[in-house]
Amino acid sequence: MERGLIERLYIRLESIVNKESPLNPFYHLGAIAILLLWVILFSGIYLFIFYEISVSGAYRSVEYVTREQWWLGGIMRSLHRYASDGLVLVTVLHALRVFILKRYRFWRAFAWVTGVATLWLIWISGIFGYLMVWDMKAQFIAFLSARFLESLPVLGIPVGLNFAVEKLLSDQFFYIVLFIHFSSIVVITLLLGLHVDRISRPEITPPRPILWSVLAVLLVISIVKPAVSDAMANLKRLPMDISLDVFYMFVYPLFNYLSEEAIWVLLAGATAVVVAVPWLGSRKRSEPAKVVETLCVGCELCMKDCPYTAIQMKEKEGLLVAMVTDKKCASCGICLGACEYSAIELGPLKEEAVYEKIEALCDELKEEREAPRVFVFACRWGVEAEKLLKGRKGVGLLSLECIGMVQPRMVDIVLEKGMDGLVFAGCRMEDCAYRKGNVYLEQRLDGKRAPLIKIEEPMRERVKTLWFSSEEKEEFLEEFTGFIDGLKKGVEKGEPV
Amino acid sequence: MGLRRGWKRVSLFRLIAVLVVMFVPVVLFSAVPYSFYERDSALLKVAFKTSGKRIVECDEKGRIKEMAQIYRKSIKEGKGAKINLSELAKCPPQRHPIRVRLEIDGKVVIDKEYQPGGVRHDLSSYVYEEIPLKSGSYGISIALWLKKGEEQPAYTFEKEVELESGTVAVIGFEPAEGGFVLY
Repeated sequence: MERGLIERLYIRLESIVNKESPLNPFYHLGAIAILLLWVILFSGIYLFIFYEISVSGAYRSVEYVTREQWWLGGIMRSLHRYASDGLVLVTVLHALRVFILKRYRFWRAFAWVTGVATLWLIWISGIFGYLMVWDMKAQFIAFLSARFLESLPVLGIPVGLNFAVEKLLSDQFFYIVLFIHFSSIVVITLLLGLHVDRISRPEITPPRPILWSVLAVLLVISIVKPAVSDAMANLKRLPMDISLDVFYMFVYPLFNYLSEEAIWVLLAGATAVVVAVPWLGSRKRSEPAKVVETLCVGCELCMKDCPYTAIQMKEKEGLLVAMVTDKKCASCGICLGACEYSAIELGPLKEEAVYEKIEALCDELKEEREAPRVFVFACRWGVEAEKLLKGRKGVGLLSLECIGMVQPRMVDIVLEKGMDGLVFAGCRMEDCAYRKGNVYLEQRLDGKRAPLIKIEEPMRERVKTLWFSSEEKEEFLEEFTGFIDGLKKGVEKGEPV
Repeated sequence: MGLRRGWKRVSLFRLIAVLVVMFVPVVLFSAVPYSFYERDSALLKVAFKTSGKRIVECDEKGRIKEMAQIYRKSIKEGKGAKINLSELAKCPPQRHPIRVRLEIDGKVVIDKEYQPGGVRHDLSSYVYEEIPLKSGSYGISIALWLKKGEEQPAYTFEKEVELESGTVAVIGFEPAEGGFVLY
């Protein structure tokens, strides 16, 4: 798998984190974003209890919560603020990661587009949230947003008129702002539902250690640097000195350099380009999986395992038969690994040919006497095992699109051929290129997922799983060599295989 | 068999350190001191809504009364009662656009027509303009026409204003108070 420079640099960056922490937050950005949404929701509900929906009461009530009730209300407000900022940060990182790793095309395009829409909505919701405080920052947003909206020829009434003098500003404005701010969370939830619609069992909660650590970090920031308001809005004064939240207000400084129309064009253009990203470049994609209906027994295992909900069961002549939706199919072959009945074909890849290849590779190693004979199943997205182990004595390697493609039958052939060791090498455990391939394989090995890969003792001790990214070559080689050395000792001792 | 179970061996301290680094931008960029306006900035706004005169001047209420009388009379006389709606159409609701002309220190800053709102152009015209100024003293003169083509404005207002740095002055329009007001 050839990767570009930026992609490699990025993966290298993530591998630094892998060295520092066994759990890598970069692999769980989407789930962290959802966690932050929960924090925003709960802290927002608390803040709403004390919020006065009026021109005179809005600022006063927020100040009360911030100053008088700093020990809880103030912390809640800070959590609300920092979780919101974190949400933009994490969502942008999530999008950047997906972009750099090219995980946005074909079957992922829908998630990409709904993701862009969600990010927009988060941004708009945040802007309305800032208006609720009705401090100088809110006034600044109101002044410039009014200008921005008025530049569209569709609005008949100038919005800025509402903020010209205090008597024109009614409590109704705060009701509208509150309604938009609240209802946006509903729409964001719906959009997130669509965002994960085409993936099975999406990760909506990060692993516990990450969950508690994120909450702890947010809490510490909230205590150390509590969120506060600027001075109260005063329509007779310009909002000269404000505190700018770059995550939500990044567009406003542009008004000093560009016209409102130019900013519209810039934002609309940038959004259009970002939305179009999945359709740019080559449209060539691998052939989707096909179900051989005459061989399908309707066991549903392929449907359960498909990471992209591309397989559904349909009734045909009273029997259940799997059916692949071509557009959703990633051609990862995980369904192939789940099928024990040769009922799935993946383009030119034929099961019989794979079995024969495994046999041939094992046979080549038969005469090997100097090193333990090891068979490696490797995915082509994780550590580049094929490249790294090329020419190594005693190693037979089969490169697959995804490690989840490994069938019990494939492993059986290796065992029957009497190999000394067996290695499965693939992507990082939390970061399978096809979401679940390595997880399913481990579950099959552990006897927790059908079809089971049964390996009896003593061979069971001679199986190794190595999950590393493409930039963790040294770590992979170190572990691989260690495994071979261990096998060597065993072989020298004449331990049975 | 050496299966990885990362979360069992998690070093919470290291994980938190990574997350702290990740959240550093939140601390740094959540509240950056910023000034959009220059120090000696002030702002003059012209902001009000008012209605231009009707394009066809007619006594709509009088016509309605008149027609009601005809209607009542017809009923009394036992004749068929019909309301002639086309009579009312002789009072079309369309209004003139209003025109605003603003001069600052003798220089024309705004001279613009504002169309009436509504699908039938029978609602108020909305005026909202922002004129960024440097702080200082200015002679302001504003005039309002309620009918297109009229030579003399319906309302005028002149004033010398002192705008301090950061001030927002608003010229509004309150017919009940005699015309233009400066907030």
